[in-house]
Amino acid sequence: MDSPQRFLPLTHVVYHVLLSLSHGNRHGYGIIKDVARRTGGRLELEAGTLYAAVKRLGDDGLIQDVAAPPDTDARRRYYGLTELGTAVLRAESERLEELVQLARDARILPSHGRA
Amino acid sequence: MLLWYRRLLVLLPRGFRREFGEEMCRVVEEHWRARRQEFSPPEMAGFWLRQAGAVLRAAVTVRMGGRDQGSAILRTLAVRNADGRGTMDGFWMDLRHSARSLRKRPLFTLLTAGTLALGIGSSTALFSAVHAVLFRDLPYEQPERVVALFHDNRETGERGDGFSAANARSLLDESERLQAAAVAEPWAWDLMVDGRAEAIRGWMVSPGFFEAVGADPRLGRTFLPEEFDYPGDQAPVVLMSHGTWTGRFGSDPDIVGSDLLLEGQVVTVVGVLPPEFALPDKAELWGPRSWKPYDDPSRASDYMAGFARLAPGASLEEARAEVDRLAASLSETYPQTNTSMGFRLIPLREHLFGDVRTPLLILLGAVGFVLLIACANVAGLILARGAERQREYALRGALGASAGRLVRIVATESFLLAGVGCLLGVGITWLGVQAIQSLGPDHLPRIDELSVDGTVLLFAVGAGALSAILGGLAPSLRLSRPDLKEMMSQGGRGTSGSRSSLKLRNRLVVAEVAAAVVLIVGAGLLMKSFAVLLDEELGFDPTDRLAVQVFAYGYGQDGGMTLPEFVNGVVDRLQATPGVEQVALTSSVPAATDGTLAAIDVDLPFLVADRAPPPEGRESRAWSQQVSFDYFEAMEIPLREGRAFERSDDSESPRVMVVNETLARRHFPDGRAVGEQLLLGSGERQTSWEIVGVVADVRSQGHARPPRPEFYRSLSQSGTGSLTFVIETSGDPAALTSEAREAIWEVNPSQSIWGAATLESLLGDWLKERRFNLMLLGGFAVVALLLAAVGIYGLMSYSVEQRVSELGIRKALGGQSGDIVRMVLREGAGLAVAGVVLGIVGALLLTRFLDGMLFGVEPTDPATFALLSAAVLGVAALAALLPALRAVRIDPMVALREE
Repeated sequence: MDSPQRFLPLTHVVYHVLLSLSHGNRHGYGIIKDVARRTGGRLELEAGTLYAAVKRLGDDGLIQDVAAPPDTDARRRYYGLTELGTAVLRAESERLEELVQLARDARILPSHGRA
Repeated sequence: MLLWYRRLLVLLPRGFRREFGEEMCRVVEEHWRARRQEFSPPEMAGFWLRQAGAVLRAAVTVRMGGRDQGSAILRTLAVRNADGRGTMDGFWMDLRHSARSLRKRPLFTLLTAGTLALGIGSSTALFSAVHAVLFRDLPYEQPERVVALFHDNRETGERGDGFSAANARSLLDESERLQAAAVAEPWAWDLMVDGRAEAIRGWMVSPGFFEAVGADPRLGRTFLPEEFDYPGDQAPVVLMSHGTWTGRFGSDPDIVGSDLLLEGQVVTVVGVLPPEFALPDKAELWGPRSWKPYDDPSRASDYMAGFARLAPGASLEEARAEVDRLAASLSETYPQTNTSMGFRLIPLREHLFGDVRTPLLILLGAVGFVLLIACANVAGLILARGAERQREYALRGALGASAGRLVRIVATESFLLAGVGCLLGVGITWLGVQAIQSLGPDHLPRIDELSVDGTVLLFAVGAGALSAILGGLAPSLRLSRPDLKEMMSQGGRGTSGSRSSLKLRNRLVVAEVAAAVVLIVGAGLLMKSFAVLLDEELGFDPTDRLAVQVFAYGYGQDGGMTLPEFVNGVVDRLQATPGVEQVALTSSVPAATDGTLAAIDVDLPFLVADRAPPPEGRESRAWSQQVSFDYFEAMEIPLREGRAFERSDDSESPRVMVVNETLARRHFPDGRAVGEQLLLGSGERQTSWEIVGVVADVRSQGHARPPRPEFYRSLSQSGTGSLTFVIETSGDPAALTSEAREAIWEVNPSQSIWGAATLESLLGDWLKERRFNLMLLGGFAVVALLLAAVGIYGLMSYSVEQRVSELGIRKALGGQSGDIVRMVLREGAGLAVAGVVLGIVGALLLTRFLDGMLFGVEPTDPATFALLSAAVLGVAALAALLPALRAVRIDPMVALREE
């Protein structure tokens, strides 16, 4: 398996897509809705942005096509994380956490809670 | 909207599109449906713009395959900032920022947007006219395969006025390259409406006419073959024009099958033709006429309009070659009529529009000039603006803005300006089209079909986009690759921009002035020509005169009213009408052009008595007119020699004639026309007429054509039913039109009136076309001059502003106001002079294309060139002077503080 480090750093669009898929397989619009909800409306992806990312992730092997759940429109394409994708997501999150810790140490961010 | 989104996807690489395209459309649709309720209209627009932007971004990134490739510009499009904002969001921000900064500089915004609006508006309005006339569809099936037929004289090369039925029949029978050939004969009927007779004009067409031109009726049908056979002269059926149906009959839905009373007979309407059908010319009714009445002698006549259609697969060249062969063989079969007669085939479009094409194309050239001037203006103004904002750019650059971002800032501003300019321009276009419609001559083809349509709008948007690209991006791209260091060091104490941008601006201004000179000189030449035209003597007084034309036939039969009784009755009544000063009669009034009044051009051969007859084929001819004895007095045609007619010249007294100066000069060069005898007719019917007087030449065919030899005879000695009453009025002649018509109908209610018009309005028709072209060209020249002036003013203005500090220092160091003014003026004047010189050279080269439209003026007329060049120079100097005066008022203290 490729080293997840190879893919870091992630652009934030990619990060959000992976994060969204980490909670389960979704189809295109489902990802958009999830990311919007998660960021409180601050990030509402456009279709073009999403699918450029989807293609890239698919080519790199971080996500894959999965079967649609039963009782849903079979035309929709559902996506899910691969093992590599999960690993990359964790690696990036750890990297960001490290950075955040450094920021706390330098008093850029308060020690507890959100800014 | 979704359709457009789908269309936008073609920008994506094919593989990607195939894989994700459908899904993207579905997702967008779902997204839209979910959110649209919450969106306000601007948010809706924002949504779609963002989606479009995302497609553009994806189109770039997917192709690049990686994040770190591509140039700065592409990157600014592709990358999203960390807070999730993409380029398109930045676009809105930039837009608002640009709008704000434009509002802070109202003069610049006004000048630039106004320039664009004026340029786009005026050029699109004229494009509408050109497009409507030249490129719209004709309402005929495959009009490119229809040709108009004409006789021509193979020896002299002169083209005849029309075609003959017999020749058309021969073509129909013997030609393989023509699948249909037909003729139409001009005709008129008396239509009884409410007991009054109205003259209706139209055409009698041969079988196959509608097939040849390819027209389907809007209602009903065309003629059946058996309807061409009928006894007598009056056909039992007619086809009606669309205009007559809506105008005279109120779009009556039952018109087909209804009856009209024509020439005292009941005639059935079998159909209504489509709205734009006007072959051979605009008319009200079309009737059927079989081939039978036309036999050999009339083969030579050419008063009919002929049309033919190329057979499938035949080319125009093949048809022409075949027709030439047929013409040659016909000239052998019918030597009396067809000797040296050729046939000409003229494509329909050329036949209909040939006349107006050249002047319209010239005007289109003028359009191009104005648009170029507008673009140059925009480019210059934006370049100047860029120079002014050097400090701002330097700062931004130092703070980390990429070259791409700088490009975007300037580009956004230019696109905003272009957008506003386009919108305003569309408004101006609409106004312009209204103006063209109301001021244009009536006979300009399709003038009533001018409107701003989709194609024109596309042209406007295209022109706007072109202006934005040329004017905005080009100079701003120059600015985007700046040497930041250079800008920083220059900023504040800058000269008017970097050297190359200054040179570019100067060249633009020079080009503008040159183009303006070309346009103005062209307009000036045309105006001078017009003035020459007006100065030429008409030969008669057209003011306060009303002409009413009738064709009085059928009198004196069965003991009914005789013609003299009718005429005298009308004259008496007219003279009793208040406001009428004098009434006279003529067989043909000058200035009639087959518009409102029919032109009666009768030329007769004659011999001078006691002179050797001229050789065969070279007989003398002159135009003949029959007039009442008081005609010359009523028309104020001066008498040069001898006498005019008197009451005593009647059927009992010797035959007398009055000739015009041209005839007298041509045939009696020693000046002794009075007393000579002219012989008319031949053989037993020859009559001898004594010349008793010579009158001044009358320009019967209008200003532009020289007088022709004419002779007049008294109506009492040579009667005719073709009569025009000329009524001299004390007040407005048009106001007496209905009274004049009533006077005629009181004497004979069934006498149809062909038409009534004031002599001035008849002349107006001729001059209207020249006046129209002139106004358009003149309007353009004014626009061009305005734009050039704006260009110089803008350039000088910014130049002064840039050098505020330099000028302030000069003043502080004791520089005189006069020196400063002169310095600025010299710069501006230098550019203006260069532009004028260039313009003169250009005008000398280009005005030769106006040759066909000029009358009495050379295309290189020195007086016009000199005067107008000086005028342009003057305006340019003025445009440079205003900023110069402002330069003087610079307070040195303020200037230095800006440092």
